[in-house]
Amino acid sequence: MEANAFQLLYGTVFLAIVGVLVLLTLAYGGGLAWVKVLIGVGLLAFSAWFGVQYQRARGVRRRR
Amino acid sequence: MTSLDWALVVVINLGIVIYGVWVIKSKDESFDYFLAAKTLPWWAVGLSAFGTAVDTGDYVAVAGGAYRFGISQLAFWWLGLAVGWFVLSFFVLKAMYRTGMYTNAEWLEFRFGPITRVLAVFINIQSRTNVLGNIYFSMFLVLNIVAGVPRGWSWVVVVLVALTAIAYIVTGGLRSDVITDVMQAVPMVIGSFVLGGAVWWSVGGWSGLTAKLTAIDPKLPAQLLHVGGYSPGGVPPTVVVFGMVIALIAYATINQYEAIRFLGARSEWDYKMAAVVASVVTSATLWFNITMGPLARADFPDLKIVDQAYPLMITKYLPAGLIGIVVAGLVAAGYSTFDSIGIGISSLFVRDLYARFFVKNATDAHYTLVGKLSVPFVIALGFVYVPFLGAPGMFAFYIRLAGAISVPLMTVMLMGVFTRVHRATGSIGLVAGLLYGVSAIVADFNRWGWPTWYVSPWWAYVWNIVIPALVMVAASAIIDRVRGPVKDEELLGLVFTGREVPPAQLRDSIAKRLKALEGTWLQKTLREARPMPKYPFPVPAEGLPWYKSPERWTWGYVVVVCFFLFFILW
Repeated sequence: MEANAFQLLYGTVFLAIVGVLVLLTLAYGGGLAWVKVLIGVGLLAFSAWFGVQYQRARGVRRRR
Repeated sequence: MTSLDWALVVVINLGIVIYGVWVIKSKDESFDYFLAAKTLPWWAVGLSAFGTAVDTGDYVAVAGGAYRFGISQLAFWWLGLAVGWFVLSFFVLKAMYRTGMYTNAEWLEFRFGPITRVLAVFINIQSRTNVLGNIYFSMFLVLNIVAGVPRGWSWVVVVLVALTAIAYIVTGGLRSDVITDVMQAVPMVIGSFVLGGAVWWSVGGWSGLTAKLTAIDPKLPAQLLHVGGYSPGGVPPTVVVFGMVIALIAYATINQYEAIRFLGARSEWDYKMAAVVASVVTSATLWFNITMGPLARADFPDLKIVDQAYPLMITKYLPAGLIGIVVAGLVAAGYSTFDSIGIGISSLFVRDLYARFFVKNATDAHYTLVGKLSVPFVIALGFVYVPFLGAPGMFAFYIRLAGAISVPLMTVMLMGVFTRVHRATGSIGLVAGLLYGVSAIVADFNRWGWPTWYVSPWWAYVWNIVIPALVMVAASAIIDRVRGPVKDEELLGLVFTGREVPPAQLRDSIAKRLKALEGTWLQKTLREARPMPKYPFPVPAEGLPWYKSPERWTWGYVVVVCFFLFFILW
């Protein structure tokens, strides 16, 4: 059950959008900011990891 | 809820739905649609089993139940469900997986005949559509109370969620169900941890909660903060905890919508490890969900509708942004159970009713299409229960029904797996258990004054094991005297033994076993079932390393959980 390039791209964009939305909620204040930062940055880190996998998957496809 | 909270709820859940509809496609083959062509790895099956077992009600109604009954419910989720998954994966599934069956009801006919098969289908349909009703109602409460959505619009959103879940089940089958479950498990776990962490931190941990409860009523900590603290109507706590454990062993053992994802695993090792993953993730998540009940009792001691406890805690303790994440997790929990019920019940409808009794020899594509078309009807059936779920609390109702219906079926299945009872005894044992269960409910509801040990739902868990098992053993002894003992070839490949049967011999034997299946599509799929490996990797001559041994993880889990339940928290 390996992910193809499109699935990796979808994951990259999806996680980035959710991560940015979570970080934007910092504007509301209300406490527990560190939790929001932890979740938001974590999601962006996963998004970046998916992005790297996507680049690799594209590279493999081009070489083929 | 702020606009960004709403954006989080919509983006997270719609993003997963679009992925399920657009990215994952199943072929028009029943093997691919219903079993994901048996390609699923352990972590996906495990997270999917978690997502399937834990729905929106298991946040809202579980916290409501713990608000009244305390943390004794941990026995359900930490021990009962895990042992159920272990029994399923180590013992019950083996025969179904190796013979290429798609459903547990199918196995029941091979072991006990068509009546048991049909009864199992109807029990599954009743209990799962009941759960669907619970989820709809819980989701409605969350939208109405937490999000402040007007009642009518809350129901519109619930219907939209159901419709979108149907969309990706129909396009992607079990594969889509499992992959979206994995994605939905992430906000479910994060949401649970975020709310639980925030509330525990605010109240000052265990000692802070004990002090707050004592201030309300000095007896409350003993009642709410101990696993052995719940004793309704004088029923001993040990019987209550035994009942809780049995209830969820029954859940995991009999439910096709759980079994089907394990049957879609790429090897036997994968579905055993999946049971470990599912148990660990469920335990961690449900710790926070259950303890939310006593925490809410400390803050809102006079709630009339206890199912409001969880939504009220969200609004009291979380800031904007985190509310969105938790609500997104609650909606995701609904989705991950909707889709599983959709695929699980449609597989029962197609294989155990439609193809078995109505249209026996159509093309494979025809049965796949019927499976897809049946999904909307399955999802819609849940709405029938909604009017009855407002009061007196969905948790109590579910406990009552589960004990009366599911446990006898579990007993019959386990007797079929572990003993050599005669084929004709399955329906006899099941009917005996159902008659007892119904008589206890009727006597209790009509207040006929029958003794507690007969009518109490907690005692019912005990009798629903004892009565069907004894009836089956007695009936089997009588039949053995009249017709002679059960022949080995009748049981070959169907009961749990240490004896290994070569896959080709097993498939051939199973495909020919039932005369009613001669020349049918069902027989064809069993005959053509692919032999699946025990392990997805080469096993070294000296055996598996400890960290790859499902048995060791299972025993480790059970020992740790029993230590916490019966020593630390009892």
